[in-house]
Amino acid sequence: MSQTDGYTRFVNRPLGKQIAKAAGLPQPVPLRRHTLGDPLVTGPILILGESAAAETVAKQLWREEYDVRRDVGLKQKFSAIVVALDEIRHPQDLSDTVLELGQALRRLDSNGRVITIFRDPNDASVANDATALAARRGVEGLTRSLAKEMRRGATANGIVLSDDVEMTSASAQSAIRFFLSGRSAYVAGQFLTVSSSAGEVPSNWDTPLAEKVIVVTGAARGIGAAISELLARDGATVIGVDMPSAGDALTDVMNRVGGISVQMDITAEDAGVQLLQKARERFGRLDGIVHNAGITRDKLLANMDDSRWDSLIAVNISAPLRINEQLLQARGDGVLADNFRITSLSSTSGIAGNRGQTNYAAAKAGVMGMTQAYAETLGETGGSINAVAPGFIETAMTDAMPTATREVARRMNAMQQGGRPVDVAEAIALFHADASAGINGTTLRVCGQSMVGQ
Amino acid sequence: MTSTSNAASAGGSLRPAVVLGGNRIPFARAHGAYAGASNQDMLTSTLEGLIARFGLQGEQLGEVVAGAVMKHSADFNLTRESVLGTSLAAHTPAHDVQTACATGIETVGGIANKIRLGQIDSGIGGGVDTISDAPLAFNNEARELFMQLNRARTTQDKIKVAMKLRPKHFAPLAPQAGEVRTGLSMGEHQALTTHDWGVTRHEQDEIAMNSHKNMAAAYEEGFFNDLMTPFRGLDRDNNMRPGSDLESLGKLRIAFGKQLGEEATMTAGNSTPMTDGAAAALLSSEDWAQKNNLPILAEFVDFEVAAVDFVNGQDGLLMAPTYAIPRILDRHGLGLEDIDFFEIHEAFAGTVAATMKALADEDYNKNVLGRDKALGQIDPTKLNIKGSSLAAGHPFAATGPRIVASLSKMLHEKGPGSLGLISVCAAGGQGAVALLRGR
Amino acid sequence: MVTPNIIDSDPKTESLRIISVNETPSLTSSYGKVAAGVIRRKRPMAVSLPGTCWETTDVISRQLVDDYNTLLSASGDVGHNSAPSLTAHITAFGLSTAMMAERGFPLPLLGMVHLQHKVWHMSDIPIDQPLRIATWAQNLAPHHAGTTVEIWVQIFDPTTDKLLWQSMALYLSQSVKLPGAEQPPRPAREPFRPPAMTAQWHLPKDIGRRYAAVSGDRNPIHLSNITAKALGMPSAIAHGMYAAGRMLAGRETPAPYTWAIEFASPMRLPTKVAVNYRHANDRQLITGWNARKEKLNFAAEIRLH
Repeated sequence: MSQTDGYTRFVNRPLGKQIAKAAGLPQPVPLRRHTLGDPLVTGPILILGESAAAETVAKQLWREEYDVRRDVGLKQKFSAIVVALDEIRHPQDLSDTVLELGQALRRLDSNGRVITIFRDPNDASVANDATALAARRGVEGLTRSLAKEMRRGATANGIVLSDDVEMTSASAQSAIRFFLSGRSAYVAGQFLTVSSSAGEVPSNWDTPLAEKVIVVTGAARGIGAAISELLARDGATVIGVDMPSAGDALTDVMNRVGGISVQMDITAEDAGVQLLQKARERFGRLDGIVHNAGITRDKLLANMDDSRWDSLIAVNISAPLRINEQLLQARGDGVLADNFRITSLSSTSGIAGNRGQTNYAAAKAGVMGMTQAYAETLGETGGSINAVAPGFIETAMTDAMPTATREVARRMNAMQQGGRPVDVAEAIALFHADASAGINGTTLRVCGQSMVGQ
Repeated sequence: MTSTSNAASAGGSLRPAVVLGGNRIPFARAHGAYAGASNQDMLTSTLEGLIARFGLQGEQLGEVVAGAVMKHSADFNLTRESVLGTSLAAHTPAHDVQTACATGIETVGGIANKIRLGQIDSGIGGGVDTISDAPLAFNNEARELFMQLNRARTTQDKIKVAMKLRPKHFAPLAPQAGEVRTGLSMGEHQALTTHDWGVTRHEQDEIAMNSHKNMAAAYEEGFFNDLMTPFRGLDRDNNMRPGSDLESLGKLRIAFGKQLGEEATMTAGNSTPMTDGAAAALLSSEDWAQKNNLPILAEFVDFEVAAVDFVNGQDGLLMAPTYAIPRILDRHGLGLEDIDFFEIHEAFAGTVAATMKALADEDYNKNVLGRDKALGQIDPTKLNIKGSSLAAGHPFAATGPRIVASLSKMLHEKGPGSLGLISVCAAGGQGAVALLRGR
Repeated sequence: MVTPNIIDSDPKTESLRIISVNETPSLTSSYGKVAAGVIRRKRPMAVSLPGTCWETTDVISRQLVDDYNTLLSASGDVGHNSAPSLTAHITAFGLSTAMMAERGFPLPLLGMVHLQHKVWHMSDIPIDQPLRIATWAQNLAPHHAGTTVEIWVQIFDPTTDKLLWQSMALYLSQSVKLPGAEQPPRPAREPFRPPAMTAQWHLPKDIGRRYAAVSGDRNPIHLSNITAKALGMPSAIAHGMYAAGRMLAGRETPAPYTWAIEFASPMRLPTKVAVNYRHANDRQLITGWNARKEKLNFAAEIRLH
């Protein structure tokens, strides 16, 4: 698995840059990614808009000694632009702030950030209010389009607040920190919806998962290994699960992250019970699970056989469903945390569909359904469930794709490059933090704003 | 300090040593999957798997003891070097042990004794062996010349010695496969014992078949999921033949005891092949287990070693356990009927059969073991129920920890107070047996 | 049960004339002398023993003990300061052979067949300490295949004159018949039935050369096929005394003890010798045979006293 693909390395050298420019080829840049202790951004942050949300963000960042600007100025370069549109009532209200944003965009650094903040179009309060709903939807549209205009590793994303949630809430803070930082490197044109004020700000934003014990399935390789490493980086103790046959790779990952390895088949009837038992014995608690384990068995439906369909459904959706049921039966036993958090790996295939992946898409769309369904019950005790839908992520699996197919898939997104397992892992880690408890039942795409799908 | 918290080595009382679990890599037939792996590679990987399973990263254990029967001279500190390559704290001490095939029982037993004495709180007993990367040696004459060369002071002297070197001096000696004092291979020795005890081909083939079938079933039920970590592309013992049956075993040619003619019974099918692999078991005091939230599988109650006079043809080479088993059972006031699981290492099916026949034989017990009466019959349904060396293979020093870990799990599943007996025969006419109690 | 069939004989040293030799003669010179004798076709004509006892003073060297132990992998079998039984034989063998190579000796050294060997190891023998060694021949006797002679060796502590070790070797010459003596009939022997194998010796083709290097006994029949064939043997054969050393390795106890070996057929090199060890009260019986041909090579015993 390459750290940065060869083409990206090429176009970031002087000669390659010239050739790519002249030929009108994609010009991806190395993305800014987060390492422990990094600040959210390194340069000035421009905050546009006059709302309470704008004030909140400005004050918080200022308190942390970031260089916060409230006007575009003349020559200043910006690392990030936060656009507070949470108080607009009519689409025509957008004009002033958006056009000001337009002026500032030219001065956005590479790997810069644009973050819109607006109210939830799905909020019941605007269900019958055409102008308000049009305005809110309008911000969605402009954010997605703006994301596609971003260059040089910059992204545009949105924070969606329910009407009764303020920017001061823990999850709104968690969301903006995610979007500002290198943690969201491969997230573009996406929204984090804060639907409640649940959650609490951690004592240290560097270790938002301190003391947590989290199960990661499929932890031996690729995205699962990256998730394990990231959860450990953020302070969690990982129980890594993988097939017995992947035990050697699992050993390496767990010894690197200081976790414990559990070799088991997650399709076992009592997999959830076993995992709970392991957590009870070793740690006396279980704070979350990442349903990462998954397989692909690609075939056009016309050629699909029983085993390809059934084995995929068994691993990718039946197992998470059964494990969740078994875990949630243990609520209140003192081991399973009241604020238990579940994350699952969905896929852009589950959102947009993908030829040859009817089975995979069925399972991955199923994951999103499962995520919606559990949100309320988990939310009642401060828990949460969310999904992450990766696009093209550079793994050993994609390395094995035919070169031409891989190149097309890799460039078919706003970032013009593939993401890395760590980008998916950052999103997973975000959802496991208690600060993110107000984000519940959502699916976040980590796809560099892939051209397929929503 | 009260006397109960005093280490036994400092006047306190003994405390139990308990088994928390184990790990091994799949065993591979020699010159196959692990041909490129050294003892240190295999032992390190085995320890790493154990560390990952129990979350021991950065932990300073009391001691790690392991050994290999076939060891390069450069590997004099094999276990310590392996520990340094693992995620354990570098402050974890280690030492090597070598008592042929009983090495693995001795390493685990040594750790258990230190824990019982209060000298250490936790430790790993392990073993590893490779036939594929066995050391080669120069013959005596060549070695003498190289030594002379080394001692020579002047260039002239050096040349004088060097001139004596001939091509034959560079031909390595093959590793010794036989007993030094008899020149017989272990198989030839066992063939004599098998014959003496009138063990039939059918009895042996049945033991072999059961070993394969039992082990295959154990794999199927996931028994080894938390006892094994894959290595170099193997996730199962590649010697195991789940489809073994009496018919196919019956077709194999005689491998040992050919001089017995029609009465020869030992084949490659009812003998354990040369194998590469490693295994380790984690032991501790009850306190340490509790502090680290590690469930206890079994207590390592005791172990016993014995040796026989095979050089003078008095005893069968691999019959030492028949001396040790009654001794350890007597010491604990137990009989064969008290044991729930027997783990008799299958060096050869004939070894298992002869051991069982000897223990049940009135004359042998009276005249050889000096007992009043026969120790008794071992219930075959309690024997090697998860398979043994005929199926798994037998990387010499690794067999002990393999059995200790598996048996501990079996005893834990059976329940507190259940008893298991391990018997491992060894080269040099030695043997080690161990007694474990389920928790 | 195969037991060695050793003649019952006692040393008879009365009326022997002592011949003192300053230095143990080298075996090579004795064999050379014999070879020269063959070429000159000067056969010894005597029909009676010379009645002499050859004596010398010599030591069993530390070097010999080390080399011997290395060859037999027998290191540490006996105490560090006492010599293995066979090193006494090796040390005295030069003197005996020189005596037999003398022109007045009635049987030709060349082609002599070693039939039996018996050793009384009465006391521990010091290493690197002067020892008085005496050797003589007695009992020239008719045999169904020729004539036999007993060669005796005694080793004394020169300061106390204590007898430490003695041996009797029975040799057969097939080329000499005692005039006037009646040839005894070939004794009936039970057919050999191989016992259970408890050990197996792998004798490589160079084992004759290796034992020769340690013992100095470079009799050509042991060195190579070519030299053996030159003397009418089908191939090189192992030194009988190597087999004796092999069976003693690991079994030498503190003195006193006796051991004896009867050689039934030569061990042609290279070969595997099937071996049976068994305890019978105060003695151990050792039988060696060729498993393929079911032919007895030797029968031996070690007896503790």
